[in-house]
Amino acid sequence: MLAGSILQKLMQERRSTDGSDRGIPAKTGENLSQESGPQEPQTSGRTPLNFGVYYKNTLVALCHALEDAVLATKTSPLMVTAFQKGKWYLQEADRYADLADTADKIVILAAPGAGFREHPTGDRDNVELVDLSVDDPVSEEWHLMIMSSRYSAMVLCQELTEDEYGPEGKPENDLERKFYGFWTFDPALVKETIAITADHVGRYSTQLKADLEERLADIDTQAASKTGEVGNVVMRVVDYLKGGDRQVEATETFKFAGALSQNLVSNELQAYLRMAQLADLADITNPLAAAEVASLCEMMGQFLDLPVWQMQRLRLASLLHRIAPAQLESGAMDSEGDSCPLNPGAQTLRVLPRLRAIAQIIAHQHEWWNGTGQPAGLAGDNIPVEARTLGLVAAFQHAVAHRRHKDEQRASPSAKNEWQYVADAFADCKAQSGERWDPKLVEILSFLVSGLQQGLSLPSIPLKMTLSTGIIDSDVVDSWPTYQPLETPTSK
Amino acid sequence: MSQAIDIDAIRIGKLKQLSGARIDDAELSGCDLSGVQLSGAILSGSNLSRANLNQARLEGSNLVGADLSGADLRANLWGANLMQCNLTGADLRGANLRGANLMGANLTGASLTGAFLSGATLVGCNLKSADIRGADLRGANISDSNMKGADLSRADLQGATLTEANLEEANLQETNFTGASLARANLLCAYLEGAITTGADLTGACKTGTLLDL
Repeated sequence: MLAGSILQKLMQERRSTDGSDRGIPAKTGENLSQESGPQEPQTSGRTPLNFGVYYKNTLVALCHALEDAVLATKTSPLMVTAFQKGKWYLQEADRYADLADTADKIVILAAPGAGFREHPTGDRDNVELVDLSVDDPVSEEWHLMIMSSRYSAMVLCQELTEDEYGPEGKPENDLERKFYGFWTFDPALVKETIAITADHVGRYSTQLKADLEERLADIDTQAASKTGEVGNVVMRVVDYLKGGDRQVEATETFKFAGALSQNLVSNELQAYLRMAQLADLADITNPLAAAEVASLCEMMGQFLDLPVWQMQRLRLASLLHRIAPAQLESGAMDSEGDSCPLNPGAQTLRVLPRLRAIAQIIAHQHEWWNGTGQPAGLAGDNIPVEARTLGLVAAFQHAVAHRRHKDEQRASPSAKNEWQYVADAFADCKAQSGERWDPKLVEILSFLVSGLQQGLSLPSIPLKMTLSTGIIDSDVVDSWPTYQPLETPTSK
Repeated sequence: MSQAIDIDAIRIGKLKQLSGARIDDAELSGCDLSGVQLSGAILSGSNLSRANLNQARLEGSNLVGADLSGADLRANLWGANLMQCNLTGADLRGANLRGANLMGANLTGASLTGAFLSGATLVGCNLKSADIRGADLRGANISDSNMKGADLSRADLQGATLTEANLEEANLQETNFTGASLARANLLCAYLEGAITTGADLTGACKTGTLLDL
C-alpha cells in the first residue's frame, strides 16, 4: 500500500481510532454467544475495510453506474474523484460536464498533462481541478466519492505495482490492469474518506480544503443511510456490470477473459451484499442482523444435516434476507391474477440467474406453517426448508435485538442479561410453533438456545464475503442438485 | 479380495464389506455407499460423482483420478490417495484426511469445514473458493496451491508449508500460521484480522492490501 495514499491514511486512521480492531463490527454471534455480564452496546456497525481485487474493466463499469446514478437521482452531491493521470480524466470529461449540471461540487484530482486543464468542463463554476504533484501517491489511486444526504457511494483503489503484478508483468490490454481496494455505499465511510482527502488537498489549496470541510459538515450521513435510493443504484450497478461482461464475451483480445468475467459477476453479488449491509447500518436497533442470522442459520443447518449446497444457499440468503422485509411489511407486493405476489426486494435478486434460488428462499421466509402467511400461502413442507429456517431464525434474532434495544432505551435499564432477552424471544417463537413456525425447527432452535447457554459458540460467518459459497463458480454450481421448484402455490 | 466385484450389487447397496476390493474405473455416480467398508480399496478412475460416502471407511484407499465431484465424503479417508481427483463441490466437512495425498486434486468450492488434514499433501491443489473454516492443517503441505477466495478462517496451519500458494482475497480471519512457511505466497487483499503469524516465514510474500501491509 502506497505510503501517504488516501487508502493507507484511511486504513491507519481506522487502526488508530479503533485501537485493537475495535472498528470491526462485533464478530458474528458475539452478542448472542456471550454467557453473562453486562452487554456492551452493539457496535456502531462501522463497515470493516475489506479489500478486494478489481480489473479496470470492472472499475469502469462500476464507476459509470455510480456516476449515472447521480444523474438519475438528481441528488446534488459533493463529488471527489482521482484519475491517476490527466489523460484518463479527459476520456470522461464530457460525462463530468453532465454531472456538473447536477452536482453541488466536483473536485477532480490528477497528475497534469495531456491537456488536463484544457477541457471546458474544468471551467465550470462548481468544478475544481487539482494538479497532483508527480511524487504524490494519490496520483496512483483511483477514487470516486459521491456524498449527499440521499445517496452516497465510493470506489477507492490503487493499481498494483510492477512487482505486485508478478512475473507476467503489467498486462498489455489497458482494461486488464489490476487494482485493489474497496467500494461501498456506507455514508459514514464515504464522509470519513472525503475528510481525509480534504486534508490531503490542503497541501495544494487551503481554500479548497476549507470549502470541502464546510460542505461535508452539512451532509447528514444518517439520512443518507436511510434512503431507498440504493435499491435502484444496485440495479444499475448490476446492469452495467452485466454490460461489461457482454463486452468481455465479445472481445477476443482479452488475455484473462475468464478472470475478468468472474470479477464482474462477483461484484454483481457484492452489490447486493452492500445493499443488505446498508439495511443493517440504517437500523440502529439491530445492526448485526445479517451476520447473526447467518450464523444461527448455519448452526440450524448443521442440526438439520443439510447438504453443502443447501447450507451455502441458506447462508447467502441469510446475509441478504433484509433486502425483502420492508416491502412485505408495507404490503407493497405486486400481484398479477392468481399468481404468487411478487416481493420487489426478492425480485431484484432474480436478475442474476445464479441468485434465483436465493430469491426464492428470501421471498418465502414470511410463509406460515399453517398456510396463512405471505406471499403464496404455502403450508407445511411445501415451504422450502431454507425459507422456513430463515424465517424462524430472523424472527428470533430480531426479537432478541428488539428486546435488548428497548431495554437500553429505558431511563433506568433493567438488570436483565442477554439470556433473558434470548429466553423471552424463544418463548415467543415457541408460542407460535405449529401455527407460524415448523415445530421441528422450533425444537431444533430450543437445542441451539440451550447449547448457547452452555457455552456453545456460533460459527463465524465471514465478514468478508469472498464468494467462498461457490455460488458464483459455474463448475461448482452446475454440479449441485437443482433447487426443487415449489408445487403450484396454494393461494390464500 | 481378488475375485471380480459385482458393480450392480454395490450400486444397489447389497455389498457393504469391500475392504481391499479392486473397483477401479467403475461407474458409481450417485450411488449410496454410506457406511461401506472400503479400507484399502482401489477405486482409481472411478466415477463417484454425487455419491453418498457418508461414514464410509476409506482409509488407505486408492482414489487416484476418481471423479468425486459433489460427493458426500464425510468419511474416514486417513492416508487415502486422492491424487488428481475431481472433488469440485464435494462435502468433506469433518472428514478425516490425516496424511492423505491430494496432490493436484481439484477442490474448487469444496466444503472442508472442520476437516482433519494434518500432515496431508495438497501440493498444486485447486482450492479456489473452498470452505476450509476451522480445519486442522497442521504440518500439511499446501505449496503451489490455488486458494483464491477460500475461507480459511480459524483454520490451524501451524507448521504448514504454503510456499508460492495463492491466497488472494482469502479469508484468513483468526487463522493460525504459527511457524508456517508462506514464502513467495500471494496474500493480495487477504483478510488477516486476528490471524497469528508468529514465526511464520513471509519472505517474498505479496502482502499488499492486508493488515501486514501497513
